[in-house]
Amino acid sequence: MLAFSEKTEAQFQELVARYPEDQRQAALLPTLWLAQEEWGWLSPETMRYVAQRIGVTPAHVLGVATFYTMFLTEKPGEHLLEVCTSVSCCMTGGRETLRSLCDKLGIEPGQTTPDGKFTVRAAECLGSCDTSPMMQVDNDAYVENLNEEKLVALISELSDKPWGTRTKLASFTAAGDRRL
Amino acid sequence: MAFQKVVSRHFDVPNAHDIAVYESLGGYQAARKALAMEPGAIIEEVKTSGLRGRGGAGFPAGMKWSFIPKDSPKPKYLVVNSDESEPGTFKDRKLIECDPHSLIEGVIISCFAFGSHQAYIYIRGEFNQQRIHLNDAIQQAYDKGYLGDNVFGTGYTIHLSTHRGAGAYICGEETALLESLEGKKGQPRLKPPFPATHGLFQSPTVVNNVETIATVPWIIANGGAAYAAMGTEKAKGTRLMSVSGHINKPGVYEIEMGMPFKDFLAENLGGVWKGRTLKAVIPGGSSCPILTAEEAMNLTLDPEAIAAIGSMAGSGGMMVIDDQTCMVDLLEDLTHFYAHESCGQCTPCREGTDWLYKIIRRIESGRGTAQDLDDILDIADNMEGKTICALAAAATMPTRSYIKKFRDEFVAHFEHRGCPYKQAKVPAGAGA
Ligand SMILES: Cc1cc2nc3c(=O)[nH]c(=O)nc-3n(C[C@H](O)[C@H](O)[C@H](O)COP(=O)(O)O)c2cc1C
Ligand code: SF4
Ligand code: FES
Repeated sequence: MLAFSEKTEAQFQELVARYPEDQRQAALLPTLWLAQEEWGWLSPETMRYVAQRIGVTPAHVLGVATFYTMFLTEKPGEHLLEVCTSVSCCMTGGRETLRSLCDKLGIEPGQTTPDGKFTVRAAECLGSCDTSPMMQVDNDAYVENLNEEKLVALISELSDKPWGTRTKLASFTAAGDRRL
Repeated sequence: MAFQKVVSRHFDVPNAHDIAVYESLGGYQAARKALAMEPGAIIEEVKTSGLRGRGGAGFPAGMKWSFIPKDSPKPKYLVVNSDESEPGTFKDRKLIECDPHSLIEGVIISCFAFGSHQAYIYIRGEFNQQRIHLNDAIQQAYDKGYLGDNVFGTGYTIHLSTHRGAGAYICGEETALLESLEGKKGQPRLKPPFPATHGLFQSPTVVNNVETIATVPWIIANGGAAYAAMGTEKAKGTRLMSVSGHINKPGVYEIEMGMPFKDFLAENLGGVWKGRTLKAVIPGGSSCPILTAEEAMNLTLDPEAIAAIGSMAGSGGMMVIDDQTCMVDLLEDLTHFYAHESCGQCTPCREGTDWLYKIIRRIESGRGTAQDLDDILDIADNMEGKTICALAAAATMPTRSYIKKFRDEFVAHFEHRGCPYKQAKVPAGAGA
């Protein structure tokens, strides 16, 4: 039987308290996030566990999880690379960047490398149109103003990082990219 | 009154996201002032300012708040829409990154104005770093006693937390957002009833955009009249524009309502990139009908002027397009977006957006015929006004405008049996 780690359990309790007591279901999306960050993706077993913790049916959880693109109901590679190809990025090199990334990894968009390291997908507008071409890494960090050099450096930097290392992309938060 | 920056006034101040810096700039004084006011007087001040929603629909903010029933026994909610997924739009992200406390201060004032004790900021799942950043700012406000059970020592309670979405454009539509917040698929609700009476958890709810709420502290500090003194007769004040595409200086700019596009392009945006010529402009996000260069160059940037030539000010997501761009290719990418993002509840939208995309892809690949254009317009007729939410129209309206204004490019695709501009190496949305 699955169970959240102690740290995640504490976050879960804090989360549930944000919503009215009789509206526990409101915590579903945030709880799916906790589960996905804990186990890397949402397996059927994970979704059953979340259903039980929230008090909804597993079918409801499956319906919700598959509705949203960021919830991964199939096991992805260790790193998820999503290049924006929406309108503005499409005008400024997004598709070419996606192509180049795929060529470097020897896969097509939507696929995972044979070593299970990288999954590449096209994304819809990520709200970073002014720093196109850009991509999101592991549902987290944005890597912006991409060029060939950066793609190569990114692949090599990520190659050494196992799944779950919160992507602090040292080389990409440097000057020139937007800082927080 | 001469133009001055309102919501972007702290964008260039280093570390304005830190509460100490924010307060040194006069931050949280407006909230203190507001909490000493009559709630009704706050709403009046916002009405006087003429502030309209910045999420796309442009509904007057003060009026929206006044629809919240005063005598309801149910709790009232404020939900801030930070889903920001309309292609071409990234202003709310910038605001959260640079000046999160102005949003939090706006939340405090707004909640007090219409009697809410609980607010949620629904933030798109992709903005994970921004969410963490915003959570830090919220924690600072709690630590100072500006949020919690005794806001500024007044005894008034306001709780605020972020709520992370998970990747769905449709969750920007306010009722889909509420469904999503309730732990369901983000599928829009039939209206009426409206969120003002049956919103989050079937309780009275105000949904406002990030920029709308972040403008409120300035209005309370400086007075609604000072805000209304900027802009045009009908469109008051200033707004943020997210500008991207083929320009030299993409980014977020605050402009006074009614600024001529021509000046904006030359003075702020540094002109069209690579020394090329302007071909077209999408004025307010991908859902807005496209403008030709000529239309754009004669335009002033305010909702009325943009509506007068058949487009929309929308979310302020402006995309500038140069003369080397294939409009059919661009439309293929655009229709792919709507086909991908339709929530699937309404048959005309679910099927229609997909047909539009497939037909336009066929034209782009050189296998289209003149009949296709008639079919597209016929499909559009059968989508508009026949669906639960505005996503269907958000796909058909731009589609119509591309065909109307750049018909010769579609015809060229039929004649050349392919794309005369063909440079694209990957079909739109492959692998999405
Ligand atoms: C398909 C669709 C997507 C939308 N996306 C957003 C969005 O990302 N952000 C936003 O603030 N409003 C969005 N809206 C508008 C909201 O429904 C709503 O009008 C707005 O959040 C109200 O806030 P405002 O009055 O402050 O603008 C969208 C509407 C539709 C139909
Ligand atoms: S119009 Fe489209 S997106 Fe809106 S509710 Fe209907 S199917 Fe969903
Ligand atoms: S179109 Fe790519 S980030 Fe907006």
